Amino acid sequence: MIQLCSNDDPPVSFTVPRKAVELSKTIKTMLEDLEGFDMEQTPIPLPNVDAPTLELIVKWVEQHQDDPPPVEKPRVEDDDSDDSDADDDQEPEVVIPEWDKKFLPTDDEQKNQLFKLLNAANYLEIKPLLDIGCKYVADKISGQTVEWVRDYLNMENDYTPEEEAKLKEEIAWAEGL
Amino acid sequence: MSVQAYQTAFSIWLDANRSRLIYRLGSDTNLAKMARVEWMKMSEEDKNMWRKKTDISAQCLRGRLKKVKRKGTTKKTPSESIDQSDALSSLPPSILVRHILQRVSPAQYAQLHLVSRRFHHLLSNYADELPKRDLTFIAFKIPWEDELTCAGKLGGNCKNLNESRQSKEAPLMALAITGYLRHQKLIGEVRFDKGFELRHVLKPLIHLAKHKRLCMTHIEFKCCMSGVTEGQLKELLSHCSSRLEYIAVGTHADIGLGIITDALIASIVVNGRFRALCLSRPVGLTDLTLDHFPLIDCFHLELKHERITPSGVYRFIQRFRKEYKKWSGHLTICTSLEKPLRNLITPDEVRKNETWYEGKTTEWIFFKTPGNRLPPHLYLGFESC
Repeated sequence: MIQLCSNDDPPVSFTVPRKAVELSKTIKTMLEDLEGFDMEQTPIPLPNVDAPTLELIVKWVEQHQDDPPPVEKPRVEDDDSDDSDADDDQEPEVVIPEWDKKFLPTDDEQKNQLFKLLNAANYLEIKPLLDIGCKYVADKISGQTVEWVRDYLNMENDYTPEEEAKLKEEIAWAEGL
Repeated sequence: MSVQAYQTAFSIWLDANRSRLIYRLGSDTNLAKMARVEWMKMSEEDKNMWRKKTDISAQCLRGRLKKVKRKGTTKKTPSESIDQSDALSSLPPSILVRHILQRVSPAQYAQLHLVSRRFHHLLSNYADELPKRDLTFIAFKIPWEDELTCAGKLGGNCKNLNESRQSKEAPLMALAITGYLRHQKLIGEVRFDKGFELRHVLKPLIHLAKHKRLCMTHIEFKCCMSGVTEGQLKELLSHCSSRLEYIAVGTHADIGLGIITDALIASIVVNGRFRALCLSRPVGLTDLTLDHFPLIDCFHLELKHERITPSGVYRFIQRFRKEYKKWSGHLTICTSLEKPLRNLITPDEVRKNETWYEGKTTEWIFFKTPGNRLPPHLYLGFESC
């Protein structure tokens, strides 16, 4: 078992099976690098993750610890000579499993927690969790108005009226297509 | 090592793990290149965050943990922890672009540009990484009322732009084209209409082609091509020739000799899909093009103004005889070649055609098999030039 500590004061500690915690590529690499240390006795501090978020992370990795490992695509280096069609590097379609749909903090009042979860998944390199979270957000903003997207993402309209008008004119081409 | 010292060192390790591209710069040139690219893409806000993190010496990592002298728990700076109230703004561009925007339909990108400056910059700067909408046709033309000016205008199926934007200067036009194709990919036909000055847009078009936004199958020049060199055209076509099937030069095109050359055509045909070359203006091609042109299904060559010789046509027919077996094709040359060719070869059939624009023309048909009405045949047409 591995202990993970949140960044709260005092830190909140969670004990997680090693198999589950190794779904995080960051922690897995660290454990491999520190082979020989007694990691079961030493809590691992996660300075970027608070307790509620870490609790979600732990819940997710415990649920998915027996999933088959995701197939990683080899990174394609930039190659100007490649004339093939350029859509090969797009992310594959992600389907959010039923359990994950219920697990994700999707209520309006929880959306900040969802973004914190995405941040933590990115920080800990838990790609499948990052994928389903981002897929959820992408689906949520798809087809919505500018105002709705701003509201959902807690973003302020930081354009001046003149800038906004100019930009609207510049992108007017897309409206009628 | 005390548990506290270990925890401090480990916190540093975790943070530095995220900046591993930076600390590996010295030994790995590919990573160095990648890291530089990543760095250039970062916003100033993100760069400042990483600058703060450079206090973490990479040498503290891997085997040197014992050298860490700090005592006590890690002091958290605001940039290191996630602000409870603003988790979204701390999402790095890589998540927003590669994981979220990547999954939004490109049709919505225009709207998303309006959300905030950050979104606008992300969508603009990372446009190459985002999915594109397929665009089947685009025409570059000048509107009737501006026909006497030297400026052009983007038109075609982008009606709104055509009506609303009065860009008459080349730099503005270049910007308009780049903006128009920012989230789109041309997969069909591009046409440069009469009076349009191709040289004004060649540079942005080469840029877009290089970034795989121009994957057209057809290209038609009816425009003014003064100031355009063979090298520029070759560069443009070299980036989009993998799907190119058809090149045409219209009757009203203003094109000199030496822009579309045998070498240019040879560089396109090697990519395998090219099948049609229709030149209604003299461009200076010779028998070399005939020698290299691929004899694939429905190939079509209109070379009545070119420097084609009877022996070149004879070689072409002989090559068809050896290679055809499956496909039909059409070659049109100048009527002046009809008489000399009679001394070299005899067609299976000769027929007279009548068209409203050319009057009477002659067509020779080769390799016609008795009893088989289906192709493959070679049609050799003669038209006045």
